[in-house]
Formats: sequence, structure tokens, C-alpha cells
Amino acid sequence: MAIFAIVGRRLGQSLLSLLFLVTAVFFIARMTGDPGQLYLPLDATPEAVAQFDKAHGFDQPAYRQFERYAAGIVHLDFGQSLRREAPALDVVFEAFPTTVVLVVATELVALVFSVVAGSLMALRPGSLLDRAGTVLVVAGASLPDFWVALMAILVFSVSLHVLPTSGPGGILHWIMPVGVLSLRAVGSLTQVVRGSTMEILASPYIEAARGRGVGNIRILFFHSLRNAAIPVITLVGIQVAGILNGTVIVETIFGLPGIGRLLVTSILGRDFAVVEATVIVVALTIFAVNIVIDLSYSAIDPRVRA
Amino acid sequence: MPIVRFWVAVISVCCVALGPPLAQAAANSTITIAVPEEPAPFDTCAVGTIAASRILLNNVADAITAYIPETNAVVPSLATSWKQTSPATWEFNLRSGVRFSDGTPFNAAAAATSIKRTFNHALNCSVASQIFAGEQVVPEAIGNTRLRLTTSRPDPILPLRATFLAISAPSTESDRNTEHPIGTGAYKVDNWAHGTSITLVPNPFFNGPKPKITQVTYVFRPEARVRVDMVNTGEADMALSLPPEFASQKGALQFDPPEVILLRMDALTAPFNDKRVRQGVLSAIDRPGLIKALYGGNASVATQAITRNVPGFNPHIVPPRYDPALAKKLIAEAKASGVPVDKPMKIYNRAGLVLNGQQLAEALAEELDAVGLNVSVDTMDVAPWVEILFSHPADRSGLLLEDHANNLGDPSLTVDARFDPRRTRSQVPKEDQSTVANLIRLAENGRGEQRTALFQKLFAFMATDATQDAYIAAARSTMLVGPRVSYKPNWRSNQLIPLANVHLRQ
Amino acid sequence: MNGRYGRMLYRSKGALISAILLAAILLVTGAGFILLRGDVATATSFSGTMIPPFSLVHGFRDVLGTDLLGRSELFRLIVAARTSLAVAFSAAFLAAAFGAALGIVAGFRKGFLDTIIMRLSDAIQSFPSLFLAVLFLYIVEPRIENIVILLVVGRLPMFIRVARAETVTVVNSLFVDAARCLGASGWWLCLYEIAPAILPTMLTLAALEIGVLMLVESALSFLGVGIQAPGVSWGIMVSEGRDWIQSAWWLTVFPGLCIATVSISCNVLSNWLRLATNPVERWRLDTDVHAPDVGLPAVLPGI
Repeated sequence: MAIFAIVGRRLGQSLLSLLFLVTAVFFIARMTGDPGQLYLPLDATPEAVAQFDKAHGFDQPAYRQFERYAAGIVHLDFGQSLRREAPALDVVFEAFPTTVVLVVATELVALVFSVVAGSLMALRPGSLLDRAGTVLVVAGASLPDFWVALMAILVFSVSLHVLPTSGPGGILHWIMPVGVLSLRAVGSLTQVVRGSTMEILASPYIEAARGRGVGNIRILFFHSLRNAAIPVITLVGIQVAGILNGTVIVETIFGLPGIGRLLVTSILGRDFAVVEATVIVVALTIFAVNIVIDLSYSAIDPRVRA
Repeated sequence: MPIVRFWVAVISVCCVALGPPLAQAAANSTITIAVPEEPAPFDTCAVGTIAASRILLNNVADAITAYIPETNAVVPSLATSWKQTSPATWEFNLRSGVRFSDGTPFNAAAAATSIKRTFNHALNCSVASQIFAGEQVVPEAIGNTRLRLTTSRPDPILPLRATFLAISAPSTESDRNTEHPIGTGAYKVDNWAHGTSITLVPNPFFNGPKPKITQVTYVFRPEARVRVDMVNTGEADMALSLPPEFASQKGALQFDPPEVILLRMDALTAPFNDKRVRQGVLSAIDRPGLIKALYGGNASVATQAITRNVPGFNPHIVPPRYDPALAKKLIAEAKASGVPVDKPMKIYNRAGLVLNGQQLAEALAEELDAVGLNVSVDTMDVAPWVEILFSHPADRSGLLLEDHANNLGDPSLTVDARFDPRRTRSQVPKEDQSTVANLIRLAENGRGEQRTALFQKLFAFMATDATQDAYIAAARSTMLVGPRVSYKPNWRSNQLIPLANVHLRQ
Repeated sequence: MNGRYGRMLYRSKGALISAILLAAILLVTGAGFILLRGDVATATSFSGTMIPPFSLVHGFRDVLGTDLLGRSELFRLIVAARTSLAVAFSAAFLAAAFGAALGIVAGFRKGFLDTIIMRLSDAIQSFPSLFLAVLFLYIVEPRIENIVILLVVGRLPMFIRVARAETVTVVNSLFVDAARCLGASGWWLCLYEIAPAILPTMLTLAALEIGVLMLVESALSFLGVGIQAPGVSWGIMVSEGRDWIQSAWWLTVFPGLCIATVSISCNVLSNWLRLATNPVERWRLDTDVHAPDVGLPAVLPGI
């Protein structure tokens, strides 16, 4: 029962944000310029442009177009893509799985790495490992990601021949894109894990456990990590949007057919329907992720459950 | 249900990602070509644009006629012979025994259907808009093997334009663009992984020599560096559309496309309506210096709006010398007589259009500033730039940095598009408009050698008298070819890479 | 007081180095304002293009190499610093100022205003800011002002959230109650009690954000919607030089290093600030006991 209450409340809150986003995107997309100019031949007569606009409904006043758009969304109909002969939603769904896999893999890699590195650093604060580690993760997060991507290809593919340059494929093809994407996430997540773990390690009940003779590793994994989970999970939820930002660049460079690249091509090509569909699908996914995170709070922290 | 399909797709992407890596460089007779963008639309009637023509034309879909760039000759393809029966009518005899890759026979009716489709307004085919420039063509099938084409205006070069009339199977959707082009070429489309690659395999119904290359995969990589890296690691055998900085890579090949980089001046508005200001601009540009710096010497100074390869090119036009002192003098004179040379103006540059366009625009702005004008750079994307190209909005007058490509290989394309005073794209100054109109009319009514000579005269007049444009350079194009294949590029290689000319090295 | 901060800075070597580096960069940029006038940095020279660094072919000006048009890389870096630093610093502090204002209002007033502000903030934060930025920058001209506005809007939710959380804590604390007893009004409280109390946290977060903002600016340049010519920024330089990574490496490496240096320095300094401005934690920096800082950044480092 409590679960429904949580989900319901979250849904209600998210609805307002979603409505705002949906409306904003509609008007923004239409402000980018007349698609007729772009799709018709360069010397199309004004009549030809007008005919194109009429056929696609771009000649209607904005509120009328918005009505059609809103009505369509309720039926999950975003209209036809202008660049492809397919419904916009289909085009988005084709590209979405690649990005989902990319984001999930990135988050997992970042989590595992930060948990391991952060805990080790917290165990020996002030040591060489701690200081060098901090400098490394911060440095990694401070370089422009497209630069890192291009350098990585030069080093690992062209010079060392250990990884393929680009494109979708087997697991080797994902190592560099995920690696580059996770740099930013690792930078902040490691510091959070480290700080959180250090706080907990200094707490009385860990002292008590140590007094009882419990070893370090056990302390780390059974006691402190569980307590550190909450702030870490909060950060993970927020990072999803950030990682999606990174996909725009990573997908372009590595030639992965995901949402980031689709969005840029659609904006350049004035493909409104696909732009709108992309934005809404991404927003819905993020809201879903946030709800899952809220639910997981109650699973992890007994104090919340009550 | 979309949700179900979505989760199936996620799981399959995961399976691909976690499964064994795909076999790299499989059999010896497959090749991979890295191109910058996906064709949109992927339709035989869209071969007026490079992204579609380089994959489809003469590989998947043959056209009525074909063009040999090395000899500038129009040769038979799907038509075996042709004759002009009246100024606006041509008749073609079609080849028999040809089939489309879906097994249906090629005949006059199929050709007529395909051509009708190409000129259907609803499809916005780039062949109709770019190659035919708005001219309408009405096809008529006579029997099984004769095709009559009637044009909306006299067209002496219809066979040349017909090299772009790629014929698609009658089963192709007629009311919208197709995503499955079917033609009579040596290859057919095996698979299109949206956003990733297009794969071609030999057409089983092709009755010509069996192609030696059994699979061609075009992969899309927007980043030039990555295309080059793919050839260097062996993942790709060719990388196309590379910027000039890669010209010194091992395996880089260069060719001279029919493209001219030029600065179009707004000669209908002040200050460019004054001839002295225009002459000043022409003398203010250090063409050899720019070519050396920006293109590493891989470009030639442009003297007119077309390149050497296009008939009508006038070899006697001398480019203006770099003379900033003269330019300053001319502009000062103009200023003294009241021309507003200090008006702040922009060079409108379209991102990605001109090779090293950003740096070129900045260098040009500096050179023009140095002789007394007030110029800065404004880089924009396609739509607003196209607007300026056509409609001269009053608040955006200045200079337009263009890369004019004559994809047809005939001077009439350039003249119609850029010089005809009746067209909105033209910026021919008022005082020269009637002369230019006359010259155009004479040239277009000419035949053979006389026609070529008349066009040469027109180009000379535009370069030295009307001076609507400052011609800068004709830059070479670069492509990278790996060790597994050999290919000899020619001046059409940007638009057309017939796979029959790509040879596997054994 | 100043002496105390100085001592704390000295004890923390990392922060000291960062502070020195940042000061040096700011100094050189300032000197550039005075010394690099006019078109010294944009002067093209076709005779000296693509010269590698560490050679003195044309004298001091080419010590970091030249680019495609023969322009001095060193001078361009200094001129670009103005734009990059201006954009990053102003966006960070504007976001901090507006975020603090909105967060204080939300935390102090609660109720309907609180809900609206937080929901709008959620809407912005839960969406990838780069997507919206690219969309917007195709509509409006990518001028510096518009880019700064977009960056501010994108980072605002973070500041609002933190400001609100801190405000709620402060409002319940003793000294605010004391002030109320003395008859202080809402406005007075906000301005003179709450704002100063949350200032250290806001500053810390703003410092962190500076690095992030420089990276976002370079991403926008890569996508073609960043600052346009004739403006120069480090982001533009890294993006334009990327085709030459193998041959003319100095075109991307030097601006990239500048971005990284500023970003890392701000990060380290921000951690130091967090401790130095917090009376509870200050002892770590004050004494010779080398207890490294613990505790979460109360703020979540920018993404």
C-alpha cells in the first residue's frame, strides 16, 4: 500500500513537470524555423513552400497545431518524421535501446569503480592512494569529452590495435564509448562514496564492530556500504540526465545510432515530430528512473519504510 | 505494441553487445566504405544529392544514360541510342532483357512510371529540383522499347541530364519516398541498419559481368578523424569527404570536383552596387596566400564560376592580382563620392559548407577590413543561410561565402541558378542586367562549339565586368583508400563511385 | 582573520597550488587586456602557418606554435581566456545568485511558492540540459549573452535545491529565533541572517560549477552552437583543432590543458573552501594534525 502511495505522489508531482516540458518543447521546436525551406528544393517557389506547409499542417496557427499535437500525444501519435518515411515514435524507439544500454552500462561501470575506489580511499584517508586517486578522478572529469574520445581512438585503435574504432557491435565496441561517458560520473561519484564511507567509518557503531573484532573488509561491505547507499543512489538518479548529455557527443563520434545523435540530426533537419518525441520519451524515462529510486529508498533504509 | 517492441529491442541490443564480436573484415571480397552521413531520403529519385547518388547511382540503380568523366562523353546505359525529334522532345531506344533486382522486367512502361514519379511534386525529388532546375519532363512509353521525353522548354542537353534519371522498379511507392530502392544495377540493397550502415550485395538478376566484390557496406561516421582512423586500422577500405588537412596521409587521393569557392557580393545594395567597391574587393583577396595556408596548396585559383572540367570554361580569364594598395585607393574613391563603405557588413558563412570555411571567412574579413571596409563573420546553419541566398533580406546584406557545385557538368546549370537576372539568386548589378540576359539567351540557343564559345564569353563578362562574385579557389577533394583496394578518382568522384571501378588488390 | 585564511591555505598544499595557478591565469588574462590590443591575436600571417611550438622562429609570439592562418597560439589562448573565464565565472555566480534567491524564498515561505519553484526546478534538472541548449541555440543567435543565460538556467536547479535545504536548516536554528524575538521581519531575516549563513555553501558550489561550465561551453562549440567567430574561446580552439590531433597537436592540447587546469583548480579550491568556511570543520586546516577532510560535499558536484 505504501508503495502505491509513494508512486502516486511522485507521479502527481512529475505530471506538472512533464506538462511544462511538453509545452515548452512544442513551442521551442517550432521556433527553429520553417521546415518547408529545408525540405523543399533550394529554389522552391513560395507557393510550393505554402503547399508543403499546408500538407503537413504547418500553416495553422500555433494553438491549433498545439491542439493536434496534444491530442496526438494522448494516443501516442507524434506524427510522421519528415526525414524518414516512418512515424516519429518508431524512429525514436529504434534509436532508444542503444542509448539505454549505453547509459545503463556507464552507470554500472561508474558505480562499481567508484564504490571500489572510494571505499579503498576512505579506508586509508590521506595516503598516497587517496590523494593520487582524487587527483586522477577529478582530472578525468575535467577534460573535454570529445577530445578524450578522439585521443582514445588514436591510442587504443590506431596505435595499439586492441579496440575497434567505432560503431555498434560486440562488447569491445562499447568499451571506449562507455569509458569516455563514465569519466564525468566517476569523478563525482567517487568523491561522494569516499566522503560517505569515511563518515560512517567514524561512527560509533562501526567502532563497536571493530571492538568486537570484525575485520575491515567485512565492515566495509556489510555495514558501511549499505549506509552509504542512499546518497549514492540519489546521485545516480541525478546523473542520468548528465550522462544523457554526454551521449550527444559520444554517439556522434563513435557512430552509435542512439538518441543523442538522433536529436541533433533532427534539430538540424527541422524534423519537429522526432524532436518532440525524443524529448518526451527521454523525460518519461527519467521520471520513471526517479520513481524507482524513490521506491528503493524504502527498500534500503528501514527508517523510511516505517 | 510499441512498449513490447521497445523491450525486445533493448534486449537484442544487449545480446549483440554481450555476444561474440562480429567477424571483422570477413571474406576477402567484401569492402567497407566510411561516409559522413546517411542519405535522407534513400530513394533513386534523390540522386541529385550526393549522399544518395554516391551509394545508388550506377550501383543499385542505372539511369537512362551514363557519363564518362574521363572523356566528358554521354554513353548508353539503359538506353542504347537517342535522337532529338524536336527542340523539346527526345526519343530513346531502350535496352531489352534487363531486369530489376526484384525480378520484374525493365521496359518502356517501367521507365515512364519511374520518371513520372521523379517529377511528382509530392516527393520533392532532388533530381527534379537540382538537375532539371524546375524543368518538367513528361515521359511516354511507345511499345516496349521506346521512350519519348517531352520537356517543358527546349533542352539541347537532355541526354546529359538523363544520366541522373535513375530508374526504379514499378513496385516502388509512387506517393511518397521509398526506403527500399530497387533498380537494375549490378548491386541491390541487402540491409539498411538505420543510423549505422547500408549493405549492398550483387543483384541476382543483373545480366552484366558478375561483380568481383560480393558485399559493400557503407558505414556512417560524421567525424572525419574517425573515418580516417577506420582506414588506418583496416576497419574500412575507403574514407570519403575528407577535409584538406588529411591530404598528407598515406593512401590519400585527391581530385578536382566541379566546385568553386566564391564570395557573392550584394551588388544590388550599397555599398556593393558601386563597381569600384567590387573591384576593390577583388583586389583585396590574396588568393595564393589563402590557398597555401588553408588548403596546403591543394587548390587552384578560381577565375570563374565553373571549373576546368565543365564545358564553357574560359581559359583566358586572368584572375585579379592581389593588390591591397589598389583596393584601398578604389574604396577611398568610392567613399569620397558618398558610397557608405563603412557600413558594418557580414560575411555569411554556412557551417560545414566550405572546406575550412570558418578560417577562410575570418581571413577574408580581415583582408577586407584592411582595405577600408567594415566586415565581420557570421556563421549560421542551413536554413537562415539559404534564406539569405535567395531572398536578400534588407537587414542582411553583405557577402555570402558559397561553394558552388556544378553537379550536372554543363554551364547552363550555373548560369540558370546564379546569373539569370530573373532568378532571385542572382545579384547581377542593375547596369549589367540586360547585357547578361542577352548573353544568356544567345548561349542557350546555340549548338555545339558555338554554344560553348558563347558560354565562355558570358563567364568572361561576369568575371571582369559584372563582377557579382569574387572567385576565390577551386579546392581539391580528398579521400583515403586502404591497402586492400585500388581506385582511381576523377572529377565526379564526390557524387559517383561506381563500384565497378573499385578493384580488390589480390 | 585574513592571516588565518592565509595560514589555512598554506597548510593545504593542493589548494595553495590551485590558488597560485588560478591567480596566474587571471593575471595573464588581465595583462592581455592591456598588452594585446586590437588585432594582435587575430593577425593572420601566411608566411608562418602551422609552426610547431617550442621554437622561436618569429620570436616570442610563436613559442606555443601557430595555427592554420599563422596566428599566434599563445596570443589566441590569452584572448580566448577572457571569453572562457567570463562565461564560466559569470554563469556560475549568476546561477548562484538567482538560485540562492529562489531557494531562500522556497525554504522560507514554504507552501504554494515552494511547490511551484521546486517543480519547475525538477523539470529543468531532470532533463539533459545539453539537449535543450542545442535546441535553443538554433533558434536564437548563439551570442555570448544567450549562451550564458542558457548555462545559468541549466545549472539553476542545483543551487535552488541546496539553498532551500540550507535555508530550512537555518530557519529552525536558534539565532533566527532570537532575531525573531527581537522583532525582525521576514525580509530582514532573509537578507541579513539567512543569506550570509548559506553564502559559504553557495560559493563552494559556484566554484565547483566553474569547471563544469567550461566543459559545457566546449561541448557546445563541438556541436557548432557555441560562441561564434569573431569571438574566441578555449572551447572553440579545442573543437576547431580536433582534425589535427595527430599532426598539429598543439592546436588542441594547449587549450584543453587550460580548461583542465582551471577546472581542476576550481575543484580543489572548492573543497578547501568548504572546510575553511565551516567553523565546525575548520580545525582540519588550522592545526598540524593532518586529518584529511571527510564528509560529503553537501552539494553534489556538477555533472
